[in-house]
Amino acid sequence: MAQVLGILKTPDDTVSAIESLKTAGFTELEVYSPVPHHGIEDALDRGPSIIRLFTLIGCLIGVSFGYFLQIWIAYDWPLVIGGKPFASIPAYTIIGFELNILLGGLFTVLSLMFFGMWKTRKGHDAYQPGFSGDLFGCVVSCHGDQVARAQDLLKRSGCTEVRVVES
Amino acid sequence: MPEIDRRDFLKIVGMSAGAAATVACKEPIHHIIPYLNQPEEVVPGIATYYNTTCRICPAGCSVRVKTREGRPIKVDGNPDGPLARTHLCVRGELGLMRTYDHTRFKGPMKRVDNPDGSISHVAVSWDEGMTLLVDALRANPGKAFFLGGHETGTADALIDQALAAFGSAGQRLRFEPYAYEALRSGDELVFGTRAVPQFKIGEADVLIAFGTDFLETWLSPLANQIDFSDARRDGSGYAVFVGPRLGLSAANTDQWLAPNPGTEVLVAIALASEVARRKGTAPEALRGVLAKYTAASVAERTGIAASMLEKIAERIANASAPLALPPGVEVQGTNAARFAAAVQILNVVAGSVGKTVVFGADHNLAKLARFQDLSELAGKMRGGEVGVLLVHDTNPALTAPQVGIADAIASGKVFTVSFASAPDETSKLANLVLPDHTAYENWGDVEPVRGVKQLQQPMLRPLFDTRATVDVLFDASRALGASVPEGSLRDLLRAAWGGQASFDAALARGGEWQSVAATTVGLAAGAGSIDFEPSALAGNAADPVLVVYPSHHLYDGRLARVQALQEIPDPVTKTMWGSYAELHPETATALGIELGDVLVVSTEGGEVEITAYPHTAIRHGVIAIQVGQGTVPRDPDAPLSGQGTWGREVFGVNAFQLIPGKLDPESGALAWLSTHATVKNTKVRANVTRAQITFDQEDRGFGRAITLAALPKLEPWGRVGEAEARVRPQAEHDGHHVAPWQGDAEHLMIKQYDPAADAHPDSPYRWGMSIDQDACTGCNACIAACITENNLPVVGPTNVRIGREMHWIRVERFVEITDENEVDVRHTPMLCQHCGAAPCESVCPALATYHSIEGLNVMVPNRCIGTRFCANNCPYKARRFNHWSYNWYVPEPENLTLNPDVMVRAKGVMEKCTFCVQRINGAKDVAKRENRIVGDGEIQVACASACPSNAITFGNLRDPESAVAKVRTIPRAYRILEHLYTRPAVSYLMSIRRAEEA
Amino acid sequence: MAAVTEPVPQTPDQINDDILRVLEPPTPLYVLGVLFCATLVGVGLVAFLYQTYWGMGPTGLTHPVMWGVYITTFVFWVGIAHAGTLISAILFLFRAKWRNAVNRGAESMTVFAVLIAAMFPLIHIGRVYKFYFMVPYPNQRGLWPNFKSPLVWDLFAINTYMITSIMFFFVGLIPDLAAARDRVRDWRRHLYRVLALGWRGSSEQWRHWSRTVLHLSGLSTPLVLSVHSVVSWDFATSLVPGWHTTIFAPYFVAGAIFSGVAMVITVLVPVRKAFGLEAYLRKEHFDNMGKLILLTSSIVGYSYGMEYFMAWYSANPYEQMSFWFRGFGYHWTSTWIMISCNVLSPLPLWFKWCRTNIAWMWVTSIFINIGMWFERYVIIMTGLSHEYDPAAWGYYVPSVVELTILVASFALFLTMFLIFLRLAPVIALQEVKELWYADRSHAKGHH
Repeated sequence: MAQVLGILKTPDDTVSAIESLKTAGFTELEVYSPVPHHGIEDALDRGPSIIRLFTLIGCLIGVSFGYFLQIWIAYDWPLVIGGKPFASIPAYTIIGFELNILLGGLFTVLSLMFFGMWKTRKGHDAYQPGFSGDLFGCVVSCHGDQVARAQDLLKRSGCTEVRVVES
Repeated sequence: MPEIDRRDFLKIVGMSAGAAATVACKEPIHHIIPYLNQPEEVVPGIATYYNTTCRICPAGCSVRVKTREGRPIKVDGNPDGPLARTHLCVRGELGLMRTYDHTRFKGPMKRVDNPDGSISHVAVSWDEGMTLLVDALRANPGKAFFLGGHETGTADALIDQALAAFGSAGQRLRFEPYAYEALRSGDELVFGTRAVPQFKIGEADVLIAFGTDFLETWLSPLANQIDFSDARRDGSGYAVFVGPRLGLSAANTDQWLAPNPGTEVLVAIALASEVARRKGTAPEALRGVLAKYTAASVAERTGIAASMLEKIAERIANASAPLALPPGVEVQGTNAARFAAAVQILNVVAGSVGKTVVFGADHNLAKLARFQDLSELAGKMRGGEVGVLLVHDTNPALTAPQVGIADAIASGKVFTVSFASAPDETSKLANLVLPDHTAYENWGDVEPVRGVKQLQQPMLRPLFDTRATVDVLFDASRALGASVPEGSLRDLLRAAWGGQASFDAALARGGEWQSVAATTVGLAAGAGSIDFEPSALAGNAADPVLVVYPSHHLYDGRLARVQALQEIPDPVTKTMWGSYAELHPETATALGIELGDVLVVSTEGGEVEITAYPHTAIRHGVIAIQVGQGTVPRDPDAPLSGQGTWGREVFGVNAFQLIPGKLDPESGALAWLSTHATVKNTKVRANVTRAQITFDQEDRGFGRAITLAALPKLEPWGRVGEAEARVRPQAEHDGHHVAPWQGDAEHLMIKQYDPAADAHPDSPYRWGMSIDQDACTGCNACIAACITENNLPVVGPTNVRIGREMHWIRVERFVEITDENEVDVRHTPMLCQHCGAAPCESVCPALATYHSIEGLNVMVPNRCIGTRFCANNCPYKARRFNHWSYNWYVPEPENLTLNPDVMVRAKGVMEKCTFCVQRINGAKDVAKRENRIVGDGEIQVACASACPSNAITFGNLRDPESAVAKVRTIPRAYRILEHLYTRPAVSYLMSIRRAEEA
Repeated sequence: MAAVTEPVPQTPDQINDDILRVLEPPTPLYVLGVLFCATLVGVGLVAFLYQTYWGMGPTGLTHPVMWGVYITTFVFWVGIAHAGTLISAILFLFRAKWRNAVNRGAESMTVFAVLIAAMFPLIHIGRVYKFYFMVPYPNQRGLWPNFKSPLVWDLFAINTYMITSIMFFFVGLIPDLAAARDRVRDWRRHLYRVLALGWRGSSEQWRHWSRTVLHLSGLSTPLVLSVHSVVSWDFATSLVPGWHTTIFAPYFVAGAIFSGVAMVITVLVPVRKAFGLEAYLRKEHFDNMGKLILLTSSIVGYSYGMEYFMAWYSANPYEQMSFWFRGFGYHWTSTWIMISCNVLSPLPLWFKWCRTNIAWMWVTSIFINIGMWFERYVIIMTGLSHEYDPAAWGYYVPSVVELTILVASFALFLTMFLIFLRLAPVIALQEVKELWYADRSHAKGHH
């Protein structure tokens, strides 16, 4: 497997590069950009992130644990407080809500760490510092015989520089 | 040098280490288990009770002392004692603090005159002290003089024997600042006897007090208060007060007459003549004098309308058992004896003599010195007729500065021996201090009233190196070779009480109480020919009249060192830690004086710097100062060393020094009310340390009152009956403001509820309390009891000044100015209401407070983290916060007074009234052993058992037969801030306004 | 509508340069500033230890005023903490473009402010060494906290807010840390390498990242509204006259945003000047923040009026007395400082000239900070001073210890912010670039 890197200046060029590559049948594409860009995301068309699922799970766990904790404690050792019922649901809603937010947030960030950082930690030989500045990088992974075609496509879609990165 | 081998080296090292260790053992070893061989009567954890006598003031009430592991920790009234009757006053409750005072004399001291002229004292051994005493006595044969306090028992006789042995027989004075000379002379003028009879306040249906502080210090104040409340149960009784101040006693009467100061005597005699005219039964002898002083004739000089006097006279004439109380010291002028006579004449014509004024069981005051005698003694001292002055249990340097005894002592011409157990003004000057035990360490007996013989026994081993004065005197006599009876005070006491058997029996009882037959008295010859003049007032008539009055807490200053008493708010001014010049606000305005101004008040007697305190409970044109302050300061913040300082005004000033030395010629009494005072405003602003910043209850229904007329119309639960039910819609129609607590349930929109329900369904108990505001006099005995029972700390003036006092119960004082422009004072004891729906509980994050299954609002200081939200959320403001670790700074031996059943709280935690949960649990333990539930009256919370007016009822609301359950259902009952729906377990009874006839 | 007078960044690279320039080695003045603030913090620490040793005695707290400067300052900092989340979360959801310049600074302030706020309940309680009694931790004694207590709600709300805002802050920071990593050459490069968590800006990472930011904003929006509501319920659920009212939640939230935005201005104006960021912190931003201040200020002003009206209209003597005391009693000065600072001082902002005048905005913002501190002071103080029992009325005067700790809290805030300036881009680098591209992009799928 070889990687062909094309460096571009604007997100619009990047989008057009991606589209031309896809029409040419290249599927294993990776794009580096200094900013998130919807055009690029749409072009790559990877669908929505799985993270939203974990946010939901976190929130559900949070709210149910919140209520359970309070109600169980209320009956674990029942004490009359201010003449109120042992388990005062309205009062308990607040902590239920807070835990819902807390665990929702934690799950979201942890899943980002996992999907965004851990799973994508390898195969960035083509990366270069400029990508955090003002450069966009479009990387095509392909077999030897396709390399030339990929370079050609990238060149034509306005890359300032195209080179092959050996892995 | 010789070889030191290894072994020698080790020996030396070991030895020196051991030596060092031994040297280090300075601290006496404290055993965790107090007794190796346990005395059988003492069981650790179980309290033992002993009967003895309270010697805090001359009243000599019989008390029952609770001791734990040999330490007295609580004083209560002796149920068998005729004077205390299970109750105790604010002073008596804290009497133990005098014994535990850590600044007491640790042993004998000797005077040292420093080169700079100042006087200091150095400790000496008892041997040296005795030698000094004996030498002095030997050097001054027959020139010893004993100046003592009010002694009525065996010790009194023994001291006489000792004096005889010194060859100075009879050279002795028994001096008290309140010595009732005037009353004794007055009786002589009217009845021809100097006896002081019983004034049966309890049987009087109409009571007239002429400046008599019968609830503070007068004769037997505790008994007075008990009787007074008995006489006024459920709206009965009627009381009038004639005097310049609306003091504690006056505030609890129904009508206050404030004639021009000094002319009270005319009011008395005019009332007598009016009564006589109505009853027509006045003795022939008195007719003449009575005709002279009619209400109309004195109205001009007294400033009291004749109609007013006639109304009162009507009451007296129609009363079945009226009683007029002879004047107290605050109105004791240059006419003191005749004033007393006038009052006794009123009693005669009102038919009280033999009914409410009973001779026979007289107060044992015959031997008390007159003030005049004291000034004569001072003369003798200056004249060198006195060689050795023995001062015991009295403090003339403070209480009689006019006569100059202090100077005579200071001059050093007279060798003065002080037997004081704690430093005071006189002992500060004495050449020799041979400290006596305090009353609770000592043997003795008293007979305050004829037939009332009471024993006094030690509650604990003397804390310091002190000796009983009688023993000291006898040892001295023996050293002088005189013959005195063998044995110690205890042996002689036992002998006097008829041997071991009867002695022990009496000890167990607390004394012997025989009924003394009443004697009849007739009119004295000259009774009809007395003429009555107002007290002569020196000074500029434009200036306010100086009124000096006794202190309810500090008596004459002998208790000023008891910090807890300094810290309890004064019942009238609600000030603490200091003395204040009280004026009527209008008088203050006229003089350009504002609250907190430092005034210079001067008379020919002397001058003092004092903080101004205007309030409405005092007559116009009068400036009143309380005595008792200005004594040897004992740094009040010492327990909290390094935590702030306190200002000049804290310990206040000695008001005695303002009284010019003028005497009443007939009785030889000091004329307290004898001068105008010039008042200079320095415009310096001093701190005012007070518990309440307002006496106005803002129409919030804390202290409620009901007129006698409206009482029958009142519906249960303190809701308003027809009387106000009619008022309310009218008020609303007129757009007047109607307070939320007014009106009936519908108007209040209060959910009906049963406080007894606020406990676990299976619990047999729901503890509750009811407080009768009509009975409550505001005497503060409850606070004192709470302090000793629950280890409440003293926080010191710097903390009190910003409101950090730690009292679990406070007596709120509210003043209502009625439509008749009368001052109506209401006392509302406020403590934790143990609410069924307690606001404090739900806000505590740590669950440090919750509702117990018996309905108590429980506070757990150990769990408290000190967010203080509970205190914020308590509408009754019953919770107190430990800003410092107060009790950790209590110096030994004052820690011995702590109640081991109650925890000592540290810094940073909240605390509050627990309904004396330790007593509740104690009673429940007993009940459980006997397999029953706690019955009514078994548990007495500290405040309830102390309350001399029986105002507080505590008990089980779930027992319909209990006293508290019953009293809650009477119509006068109401609950404070009920409309907040906190479901309080404490209910109050409205006070009854007898004055207004609707 | 960028004001023509201000420079406009030409290339994304210039943006990098401008913004990351802030991270260049510090000037002596900067070091001096940090040291000065740190010293004040040290003094505050000593004061706190003194108080911890002696108890609450050294404070001015007493009966009946059991809450004082500490709770006031607690509420104040919680309020400050609201601007960040508001700007980064709510305005993000509303797609308000002008937020991009200020949100990083605001978020950092949020984190620091909430950290400081979280300290004050501990400083306030009588036994700080027992604070964990509030936390539900399993123990053999079976002791648990009281979940009915607003203070426990507070504990949960504040900590949730702290953790969430820190996460939000950090997630937003990751791409910029990567940029810094790729640019900075000194020792800090290693720090950034660790912090950037291997960020390379691949489209896969951006995909998850944008989703995370979106969800965190979604979660933070109700959170930020709930936190100050819960804080307000510390008061509103009590019986105290002047506290026991239903308008407290919205009233406090508005006040929080009010003070928060003011604090953002107070802090960013000097930064803008010192680091020459006029191109990024543009007048339009201050203009918009000025409008936000106007809005919240009028809500707060309305609440003041409503409090007095209800006190009068309810015919409730306790409320009436309490508010009379508030306006004309012992603490009247505080009340009038509050009203003039919070209601009167923002009024000129109705004029655009004032809103776009940086100096004017800065002075106004300082007034607002003062006013909002006094608002909380007044509410707490006057409510407690005159409660139900006239015999238990009293006053409160703050002590030196309390004021020292108050000052130290500001010093701590500045210390943390100054250090942050040097460690991470104070302006959201990638967001500004994003905007820059978006302005020039013709591709589909805009913000």
